[in-house]
Amino acid sequence: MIYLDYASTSPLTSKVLQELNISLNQDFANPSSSHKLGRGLAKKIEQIEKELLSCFDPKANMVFTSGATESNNMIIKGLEFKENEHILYHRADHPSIVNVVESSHTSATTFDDKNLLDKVNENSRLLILTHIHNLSGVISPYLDKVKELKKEFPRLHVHIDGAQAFGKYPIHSIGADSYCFSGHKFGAPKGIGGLFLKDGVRLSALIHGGGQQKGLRSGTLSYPFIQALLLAYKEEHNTNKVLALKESLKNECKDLFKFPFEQLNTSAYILLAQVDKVSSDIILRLLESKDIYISSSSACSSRIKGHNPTFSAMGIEEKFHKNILRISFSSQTNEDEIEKFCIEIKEVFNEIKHLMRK
Amino acid sequence: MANYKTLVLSVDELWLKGKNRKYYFKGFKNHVKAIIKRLHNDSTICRNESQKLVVDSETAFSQELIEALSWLPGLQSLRPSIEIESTYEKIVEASMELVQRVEPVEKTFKVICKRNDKSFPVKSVEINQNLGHLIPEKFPHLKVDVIDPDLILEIKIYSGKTYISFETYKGIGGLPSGMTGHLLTLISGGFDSPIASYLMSKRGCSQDFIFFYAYPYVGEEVKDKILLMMEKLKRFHFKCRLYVIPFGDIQNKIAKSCHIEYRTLLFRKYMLECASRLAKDIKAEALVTGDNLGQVSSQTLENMTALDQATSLSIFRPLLGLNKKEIIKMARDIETHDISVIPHDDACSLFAPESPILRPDQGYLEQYFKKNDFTQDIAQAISDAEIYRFDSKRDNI
Repeated sequence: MIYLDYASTSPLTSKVLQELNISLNQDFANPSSSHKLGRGLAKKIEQIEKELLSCFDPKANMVFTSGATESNNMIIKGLEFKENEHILYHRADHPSIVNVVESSHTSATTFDDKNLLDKVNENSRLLILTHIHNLSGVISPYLDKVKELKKEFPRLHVHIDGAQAFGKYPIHSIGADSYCFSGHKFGAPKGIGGLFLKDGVRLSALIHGGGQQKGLRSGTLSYPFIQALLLAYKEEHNTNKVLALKESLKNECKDLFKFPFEQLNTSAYILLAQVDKVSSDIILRLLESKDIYISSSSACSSRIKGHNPTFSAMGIEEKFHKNILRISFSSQTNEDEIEKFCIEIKEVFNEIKHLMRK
Repeated sequence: MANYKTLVLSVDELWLKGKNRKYYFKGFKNHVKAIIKRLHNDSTICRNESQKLVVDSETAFSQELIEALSWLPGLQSLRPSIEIESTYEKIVEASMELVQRVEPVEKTFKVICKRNDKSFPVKSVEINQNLGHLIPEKFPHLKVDVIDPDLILEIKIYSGKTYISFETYKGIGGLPSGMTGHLLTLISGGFDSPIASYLMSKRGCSQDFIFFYAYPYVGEEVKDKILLMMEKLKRFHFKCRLYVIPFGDIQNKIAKSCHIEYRTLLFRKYMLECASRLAKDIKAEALVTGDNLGQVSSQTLENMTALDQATSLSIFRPLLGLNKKEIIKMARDIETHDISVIPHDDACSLFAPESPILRPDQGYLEQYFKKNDFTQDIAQAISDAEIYRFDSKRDNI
């Protein structure tokens, strides 16, 4: 099997799986219990929080959540807005931002890749940035503006969706007020993720109950998953190696695809490719029959046929919406896989070249 | 839900059938019994009453069962009735309740009361008159018409028990399933083939279905759509099967080896060849397609004639003379419309040439058939087919 769909989810690394097995068996106690077993795990969780926070801001707080979707919801629904205040977001953001913002009662304004600075003003309460776009791999062009904006508009909360970046790209220097991620994008299990919150950020909770995590997110903490999150984070993420693989694939397949976002600053881990004249779903399925897995758009929306509002917001013309493929990598990806992928994809194109017309 | 414990099923066209009548009636009854077995938990008694089949049970029949029965080929109409205690008050109360269940649109009605138990204190005529007065008072959309009413409220009074019926489920008519032969229907996700199948069902043909699945050139959603369609079509059958033939590779091979404008014609030719082989295996006597004359550019007389040569079996094309609007109207009536409109990839349109051949060159075709032999591929595709079985007696397997 050649798996090149890490941006939708990644398998557990063998180390994470091994440790998780042990931990599920041993560390079954409730970290909120007052006996020794519980207290021991609570201590360890504190330690893990510290380690994870060191890449963001050691003085910040951390909430363990089910992943980035929940974390984005917490920020959008949990921040307090005054009557005339609004949210700034990009239409190409992940649905867990766009759909939540658009269904909330708070007013919202969109910005694009050029006009953010014209749109932000003293009534801007929340600015949401996507660190790395899940489909195009584009790194937000506004990351280095965050500090200035924060200085000019002190009430502005900058939230960053880091689902595709956490563990792979530095986040410390951005200066955001909150940052979220999903463990399963970098080798931890599905169902665990986190939200970093700068000290002093006031948020109301989405999930109420026993008051765990300072009341911000009730529910029994899963120590084994939290430990797995840290282990996966600490695995080697060799961005330079991945970048070299991506470049070789681009070079090898330049006659088959267009790479419409590659003139921008993009992530080493994500490559968006456009095929001409044939639906990308067919390529996806032909590859699948060779046990090769990529995406024809983000997993959350790949069922939508034809018009895709996210693609439109990314600036992809509607006539190409059915022609988009996403190839995504991890540090586990190796040269052999890329080489084999290139051979197989060429064969696929050869097999269906009589279908490419008009 | 009214407490319907008796169903009266009128059978269509039986008077035509002379000697076969008994056999047809039995076929219909078996189909009814099969559905009752699947959808009714209690035991029932099925009895013949002149042109009608009457089904009684101790427990009430579900709406699902009544609806399932109402789709049976050969059914003219179905009237469910409730059973109540024989008192005047109960009769009035229950009648009002039944009337209330019917959609409030302007209609005419008539009350027909029969007293089997002549000791019942109120006379039939009085009951007719009283209800004929009370009902329009409470339900102004209903008016009495004793000559040609839309609806009939029927009351049969026996000593102790009274049966009342008001609703009528109109059947699709025709002949009971399986009475006239067995066919293999070529089904796709569109409007036409389900209607072609339905029309043949109505004439008493049992069927199996064949679907050419062009995976990976189409996605799995196409197969899901066909399975959804089968949920509607199976209602007309005692038993039927769907053969999902993996056809993507064959289609791609054909596309690669022929002139582009011949693709559509050749796909159809090999589909028919495949269907005809399967038909022989499963003892179907003819094929059914949703072909409609001139609807798309490849549906010319010349092409149909050329395709007839792909098989020694007859190809039934019950939609030939219908207009699209008529087909869509029927699709609404039998509830396949909303499935047909679900968007899906279509392999034929993916491979389709800009302008398909209208008058095929026999010489070219003969040469092509000589050079290309798909017999082996077709046999393989049939043996690799996925088979789904549908049976009135049980839930899907």
